Amino acid sequence: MANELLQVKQVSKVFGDQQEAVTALQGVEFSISTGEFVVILGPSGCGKTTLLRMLAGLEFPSEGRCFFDSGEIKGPGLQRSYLFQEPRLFPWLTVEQNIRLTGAQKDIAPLVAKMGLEKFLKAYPHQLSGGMAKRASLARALLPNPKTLLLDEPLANLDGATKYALQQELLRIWQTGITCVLVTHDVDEALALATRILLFSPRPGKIIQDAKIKLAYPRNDLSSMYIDWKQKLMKWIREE
Amino acid sequence: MLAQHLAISLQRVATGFMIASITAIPVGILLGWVPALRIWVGPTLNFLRQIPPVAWIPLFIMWFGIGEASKSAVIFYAAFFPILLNTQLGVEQIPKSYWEVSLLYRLPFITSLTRLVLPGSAPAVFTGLRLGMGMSWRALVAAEMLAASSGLGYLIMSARSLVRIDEMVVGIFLVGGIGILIDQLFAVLEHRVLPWTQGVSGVSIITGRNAYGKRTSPSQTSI
Repeated sequence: MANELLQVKQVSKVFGDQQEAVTALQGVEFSISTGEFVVILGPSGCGKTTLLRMLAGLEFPSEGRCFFDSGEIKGPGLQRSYLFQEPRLFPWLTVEQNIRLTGAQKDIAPLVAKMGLEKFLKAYPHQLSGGMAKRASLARALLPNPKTLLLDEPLANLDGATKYALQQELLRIWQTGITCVLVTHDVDEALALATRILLFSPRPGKIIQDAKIKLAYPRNDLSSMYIDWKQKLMKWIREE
Repeated sequence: MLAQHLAISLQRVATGFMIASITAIPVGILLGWVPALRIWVGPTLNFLRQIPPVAWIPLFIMWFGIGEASKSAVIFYAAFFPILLNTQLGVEQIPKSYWEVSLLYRLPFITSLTRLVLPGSAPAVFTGLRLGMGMSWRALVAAEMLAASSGLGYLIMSARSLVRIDEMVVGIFLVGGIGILIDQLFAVLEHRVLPWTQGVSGVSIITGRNAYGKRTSPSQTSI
């Protein structure tokens, strides 16, 4: 289909050698259309980060194949930006140099303004707060104008207010037309962001629920529909 | 008289040390970047590293004559390995997570070199340079004691034959003093060039404080 941006076909991943093989993912199959905000929700160790790394081209499936824009994923590409769990800014470069890593000549002013980083361009990463470092790495990921943004628990280890602000930022980025895939183990984070949640089982990870979340943004975590969804998700998680 | 000896010694160190830096840093980067190369050249380098520079002096004199070249060769030899090994180690110690960033954004070779490898290994390169400078200073004095008619080493030896203890002491203290000065020069340079380092290296031996005035444990750079 034309608007299927990412496709995962019967993907399995086994780590280690034959004696101590660990199956991280088993027979995972789904596809993501342009414009979706998909959250992959699952417990620690269910292989969700591995799956995201495969979509980024940083790892490869033991079985099955992954596709982006109808082409098989054989390595990283600038159309698929990836946000690591830690900001991974180079400590020896200023914020500006870090953002410009993929394009020295580009005009970064609009991006920097959008991220609220104007005052920090000349700062070094160790001078930034956790939230600002996240914003800087987000700006770096957005500079190549990606079609999709792959987010590996980007909001872990942040305080409540910073987390909320960054969630709104991610939604704004998504609304500009960038398809987002986010990995998390936090049910509330999934419900705050997703248009669709893929619920994974514990290891070996496989999809146990594929749910479209039809709730309006910004989401109110006290609304009855939100609470219904949360109860439903918790029930599915407990049943596994 | 003293100034002449000092000048010629400094000149010899500068020549040998410069050539060592220019060759050892690129080779170190290459060995750190391409692990496969280590299998081929590692054993040879390890073998050469074990030989004290002074042991080469007789052979160097036969190869390069009794002029400046043989002394520069000894200094080169002394400085080469500390710089090489520290550079290699510096590149190897760049975290895997940063390499992954370079892979993810498909950084071209030149960007990886200038944005990742060179700055990432720079603190270790500086440690290598400081160690290398110390080693070349030692090798120089040894070389001048054995085969030279000028320089601080020669000054000490000739004072010995005349039993001029005062001159010997001046020579010895000068060697130490100049060594500290050069080391401090590197420390200052390091903080100028690497503003992101938080005073891990580059500690003043005299005050025990780094450029930010923070007291830290002395680095391993002064042997």
